[in-house]
This record gives sequence, C-alpha cells and structure tokens, in this order.
Amino acid sequence: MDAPEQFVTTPAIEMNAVGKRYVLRRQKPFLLREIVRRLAQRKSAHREFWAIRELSFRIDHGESVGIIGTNGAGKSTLLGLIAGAVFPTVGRVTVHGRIGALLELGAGFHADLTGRENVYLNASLLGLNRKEVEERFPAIVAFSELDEFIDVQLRNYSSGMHVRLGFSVAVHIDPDILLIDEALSVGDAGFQHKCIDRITGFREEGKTLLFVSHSPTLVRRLCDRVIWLEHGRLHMDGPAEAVLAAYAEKSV
Amino acid sequence: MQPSAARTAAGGLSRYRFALHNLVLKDFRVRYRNMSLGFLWSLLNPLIMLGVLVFVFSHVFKSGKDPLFPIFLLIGIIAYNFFSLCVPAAAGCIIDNASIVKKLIFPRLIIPLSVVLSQMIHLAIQLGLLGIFLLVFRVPLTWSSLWMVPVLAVELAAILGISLIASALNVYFRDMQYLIESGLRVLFWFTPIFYPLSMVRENAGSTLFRLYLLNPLAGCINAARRALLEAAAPDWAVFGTATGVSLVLLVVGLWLFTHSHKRFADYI
Repeated sequence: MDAPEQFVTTPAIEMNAVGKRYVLRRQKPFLLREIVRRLAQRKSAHREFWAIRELSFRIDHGESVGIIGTNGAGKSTLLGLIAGAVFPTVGRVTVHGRIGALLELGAGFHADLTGRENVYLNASLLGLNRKEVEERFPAIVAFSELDEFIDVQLRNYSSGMHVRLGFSVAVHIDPDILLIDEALSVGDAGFQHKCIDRITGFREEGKTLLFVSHSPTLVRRLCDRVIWLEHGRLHMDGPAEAVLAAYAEKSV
Repeated sequence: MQPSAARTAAGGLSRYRFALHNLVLKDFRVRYRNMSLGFLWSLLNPLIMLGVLVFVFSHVFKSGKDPLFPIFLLIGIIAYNFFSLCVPAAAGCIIDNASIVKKLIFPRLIIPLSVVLSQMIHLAIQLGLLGIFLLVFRVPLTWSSLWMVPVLAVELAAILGISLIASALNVYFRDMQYLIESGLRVLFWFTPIFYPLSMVRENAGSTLFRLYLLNPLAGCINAARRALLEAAAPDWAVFGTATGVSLVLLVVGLWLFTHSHKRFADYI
C-alpha cells in the first residue's frame, strides 16, 4: 500500500452509500431502568437522527478537498467516519493510506502531565512508536516554540500554548491523508500562518488533504475541490471556486 | 478492506505498544504526582487491612491461632485487592478517556489493558511485601512456590476478562459502576480471605461449595496458600475450576469488547 504506483488506481478515500444514524437519548442509559422499561413493554423513548445519509464520493490521492456546510450538516461526523473513530450504520467507507486526523488538537492532553509527557502520550496514540517519537520530539518542540515550558505541567499553559503544542504534534506524524477539523481557527496570527505554511507544504508533497472549515478564504487557499454538505447529504461537489460561489450566494 | 476500522479493534496492537506504555505511565503520574506519600499508599493499604483483620480474628474471635495467620491473611488480601482495584478502574476507563476515544484512532483495547497493567505495578509492590513477611516469619521458599506463577496468571486472566466486560458494558449502562461497587462488597465475603476454603467445603454442603468455586479468586487464593504455606501443589478440583472460569471470562471479555467498541464513540 506504500507504493505510489498503486495510488494511481486506488482512491485515497471512497464513500459508498454511507449513512450514520445516531440515537438521541434524553437521559443516560441505566441498565436497571432499561430492564424495567422492557418489562413494562414501554416503547423506547429514544429518537433517531441521521447525521449522514446516502453519501457517496471518491477522493484520489493528492487531492485537497474542503468540506463546507452549515452547523449540523454532518461535517465532523464525516471526518470521524473517514478517520475510523465513528463507524457507519450503513454503507462502506474505504481508506487507503495512513491517516492523520486532527479532529481535535491535543486530544487526550492531561493537565497533570508536563508538555513533554503529553507530547509522548499524544504522539504515540496517533500511532508513532518510541523511536519515531524520540526522533521527532526536537522538531515538535521547536515548531511549537515552547521549549522553555516543555517540562511544566499543562495546567499552567495558556489555551494558546495548549493548541500550539497539539498542532505541533499533529503535523509531525507525517500521514498520507490529513484530516483537519477547524483546527486552524485558533492561535495567534503568527502561529496560524505557520500552520498554513506547513499544510501547504504537505499538499505540495502530493499528499491527500481533507479540510473542514467555515472560512471560505482558508478553503479557497488550501483546496482545489469542495464538497458541500446539507442535512447530511451531498449538496454540491466540484471545483473550489464554483462551490464556494454557490455557497456564498445561498448564505446571503 | 477498511484499515482504519480494523485499527480501532485489537489489530495493530504491536504498533501501539508505545502508546500502551505511555497510558500506563500517565495513570501512574496522574495518581501520584500530587500526593506526598505517593507509592507508600500501595503498601499502607494492605497493611491497614491486615492489621484490622489480625486484630479481629486473633484477638476478638480468638480463631487465628496459627502463627502464620498474618501471611495466610495477606495472601487473601493481596489477591482480593488486585481484583477490587482493577475492576472499578476498568469500568470507568472508556468514559474517562472519552476525548481520545472520540477523536483518535487506536486499538481501544489498550485502554483497559493500561488500567490492569498499572494496577500490576501495585500488585508487584504488594507481592514484595508478602516476600518480606515470608522472610520475617521464616517460611522457606520451595519448588512448590513456583506454583505462584500459574496462580497469578489465572487470576490475571479472570481480572482482565471481567475488566473488559465491565469497561464495555459501562459505556452502554452507566450504572455498571454502582453494580460493581456492591458486587465487590459481596465478593469480599464470598472470597476465602480471612477463612480457609476448607471451612466452606466442610460446612456449606457440596452444591454450595461448587457454586462458591465459581469465584476464581477462591481457587487462586487456595492454591497460593498451598504453594507458599504448605509447599504443596494446587488442589486440582479447586484450581482447575478457577482456571476454567478465568479462561471463559477472558474469552467472553475479549469477544464482548471487540464486538461493541465500534459504537463506543456514539454513546460517550
């Protein structure tokens, strides 16, 4: 799966009639209450909600695709499905290549651990082994510009520092397919710029990028193709300019 | 083929060895970093329980006449402690780690594994304490002491199995944690901690005794006492049942966990 020749024929991501249903619960489930409910033959009080329905598309290696849509359109669920953190109710999601998912920067960071310990934990959960983490650690610290604070507990970090460390780990895991969920809307202007440079470089290396954002400017800058989701369905899929123009018109 | 899906089950465990290592370290650091006594709690906890039980049974009931009674007790306490620390911690582990289960892709199995492994560090400390007691009471180690290895393996299998069952079910039913709390209190009395298994055999009748043996801790504690205090091999009728029950628990736990992890992210 590492050979680039193979990438020509196999898509990076293929969604085949994918649907994701969530059960909306009014209360947390408790075993005893469920048993009582079953015994009393009462109908379940849960409502259903399809976050994604009948979604099919294909993304080839080297494409950079923006995902847009209003709140609740299913953008984050879609990234979760591709990442493999969320499983489809129906249909098939096929992914070829190593995924780096920035669904949340610094997921699993713990306030009681130091910056260094959190980098090790986060990077290893993202799939790096000991050697890879040790090799990349200096670059991660340098990129985050936090070398002074790297042995300080995270509870003493500002939220900006927190995000810088998270992003820094994420861009150093070197995936084939990078999924980014709104990650760039945080941090100061200087650091944002640095992140965008890093992602642009990633794109120039011919890797696949999926980018969820509410910012048309950023999407235009980073993506060639845009997928517009509406109520969990594919509303429009095409060249970035055309889809963004249609989206802007609708939003007005 | 769906590589990312396979990765979230148990596949690629070896790739995530370092992540498992870091999760265990995290558990340890988070627990002890802000405590002045730190590690000592691991020793103080069984010692306090030992002191109380020795007082009650040697000085109030006057039944613990055997000079080796403290070691007899300590074996039971350590086995029960390991169980009673692992299972509640494992029950909450998926929910406690909701942020990484929702947002990262890695074999979910390493979360409950990390809980059990980090408790094994405490187990090792407490076994060291047991070693000191054996020295102080001049109980000689013999070849029979090696039976401790399979005994620990069987207990570990049982604990791992129940931990997996509890961690998976607790995602769907949040009252698992309360059921486990009550269950542990019941288990304390149904485990031969301060009385020998032979008393159950003699007094409870054969049907009740057979039911009693379904608690794998009973067979493990009995075999450990025979190995260390009597230099004898396990009583196979007893330890065999414990081994069987433990393996069934482990298989059921693995099956339940790998068949339910896909929906964890939807429920937490």
